Amino acid sequence: MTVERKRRAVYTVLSDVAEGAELWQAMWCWQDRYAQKSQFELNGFLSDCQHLPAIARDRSGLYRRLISSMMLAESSLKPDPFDEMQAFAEKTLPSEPSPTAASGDDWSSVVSHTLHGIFGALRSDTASAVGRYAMEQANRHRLQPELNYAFTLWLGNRQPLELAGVALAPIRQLLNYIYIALCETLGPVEADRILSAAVGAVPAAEGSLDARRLL
Amino acid sequence: MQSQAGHNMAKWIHRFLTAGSVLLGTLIPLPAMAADPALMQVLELNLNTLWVALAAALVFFMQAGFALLESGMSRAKNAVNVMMKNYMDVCLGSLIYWLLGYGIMFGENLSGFIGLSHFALTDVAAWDYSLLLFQMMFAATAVTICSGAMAERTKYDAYLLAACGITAFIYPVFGSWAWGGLYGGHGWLAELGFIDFAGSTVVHSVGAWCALAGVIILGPRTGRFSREDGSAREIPGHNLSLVALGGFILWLGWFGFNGGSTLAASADIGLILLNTQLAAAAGAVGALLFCRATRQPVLLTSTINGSLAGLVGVTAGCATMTPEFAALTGLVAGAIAVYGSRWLQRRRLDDVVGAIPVHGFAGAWGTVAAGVFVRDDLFNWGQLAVQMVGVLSAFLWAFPTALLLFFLIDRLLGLRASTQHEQQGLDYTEHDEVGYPEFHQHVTFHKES
Repeated sequence: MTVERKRRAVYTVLSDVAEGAELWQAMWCWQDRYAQKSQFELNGFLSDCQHLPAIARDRSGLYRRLISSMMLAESSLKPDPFDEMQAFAEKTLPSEPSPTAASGDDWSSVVSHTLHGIFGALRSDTASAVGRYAMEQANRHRLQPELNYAFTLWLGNRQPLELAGVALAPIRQLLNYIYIALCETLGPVEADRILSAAVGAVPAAEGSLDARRLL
Repeated sequence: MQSQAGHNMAKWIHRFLTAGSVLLGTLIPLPAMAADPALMQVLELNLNTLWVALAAALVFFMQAGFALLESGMSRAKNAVNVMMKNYMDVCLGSLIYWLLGYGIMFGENLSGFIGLSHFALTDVAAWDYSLLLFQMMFAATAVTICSGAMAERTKYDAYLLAACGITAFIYPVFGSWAWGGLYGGHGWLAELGFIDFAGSTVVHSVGAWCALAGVIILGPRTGRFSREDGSAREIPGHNLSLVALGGFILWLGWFGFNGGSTLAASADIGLILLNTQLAAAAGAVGALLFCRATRQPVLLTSTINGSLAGLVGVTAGCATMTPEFAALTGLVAGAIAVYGSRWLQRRRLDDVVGAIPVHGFAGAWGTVAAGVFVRDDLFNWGQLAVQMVGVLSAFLWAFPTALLLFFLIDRLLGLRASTQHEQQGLDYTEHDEVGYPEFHQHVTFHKES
């Protein structure tokens, strides 16, 4: 079962009993700690959320519903709430201070070319899986909100990236998440080839910034 | 000028004649020496020392074989890291084994479970130095088995720490059970009559069970197995020529490994080396036949691993088997290596070079075979039971202990390299140098100039 489907199942149950900040906090708790775990560990998830009144009221009932929701047909599940979760995270969660504070460099064009190179080499379903994984990881690890936001927009409609003020370290981290997703979907050999080719294909005329520094 | 050249030539002729007369003086009065037991003893000791030292050098050379084989089977971005691990296995292994391992393995062993003397040997009989040197190479071999299995995603320092733990404790403790008691007492397995002439179990399986523990704690390389159906994705090594060369070097080194285990320059060496050769050849054939029978492509790596499995398999019984059974042992071992590799993959265990099936599964088979195919005592079921006890005790000792060791290292230091390091390659991230700066095909790192 994909993380996306599991998230929809959890959201389908939790959105019936909680709303607003309480709901999104619970969803992020699940996303951060339980998205990759077995459904049998959902009891731990509810235990972690017991400070939220909506969850604490009926933990055992929620547990049963969560387990059954994992077996529901996709058509019975609510849509993926990831965009709303992300919007909540951007509003409320502080980002980690970057180890290399924002430099004067504007990586917008270089990153944009690199992303085009990578995603252009993928089938549409693979591209969407890779993008979703990278976005999830970027949010989970609280990369700079400006970067996450720009990447989300870029994924949505390939809008030009606006990365002025974003430091190199989080960009490299984002590229690494994309690389991991490529490894998981296509295998490490293809991932190496695509990443290397995309970086190598960035035009040299893009100012003084060397695309290889993204690696 | 001319007179200087003439003087030099005269010096060389003099040296040549002196060396010749010494040689003749050693050979001609042999009958006279036979009458002098003390002189014979000295000659015997000298010859034994010469043979064991030569064998130790051959076993040392096996490290080069491991380095080439493992490096060739890894991606180019991790080639240096694999070489470094092999190199440091010998360096750290030698020091640690001299300080601790040898005493635990061969020291006075009154309990049957651990040796407790002869640590950090400094002033002992001449023969003990030879033995220590030879056994030191064995210890390095055992530990280096892990490096290949755990390649491409292990932190360098964490690996070296684990290698120290294996050389200092896990390997020698089991060794003391099977081979211990050189300076008093007996290992409990030796007391039972366990046959493991050169270490199918003592060296190879123990190393492989440690590798299995490491592989489990580490997890597979990113993307090695599909998340959807768990199928394995091929990650081809970067240089199959290195793999082949490594295989040949290991094969050569094995003549020292098995032949040297006589610890004497005796006539037995002929049979031992012949058995070694036949088993290696049969191992490759076993791998080939298994691949054909199961309609799999016959890969170079499978073939080489087949011959290595044959070598591992015959290591336990090379001194006690007749050649036809040595060949049979190798043949089966080769097939086991190929099957074992697939078996591990189905369980999503990522052993980069196939070290666990080659050294672990084939080692276990070889140890069992050594008990069943004893010359003049074929199919002795009592001996088979003893061999099974030895194989099982090796697993039950080495695997959980190594699992604990790797688990602790993982918790305290972190065993696995970060995904960013996996992307960039461990050559660059761990050592700041790359194996192929000019020919790197897919560059996934950037080194600031």
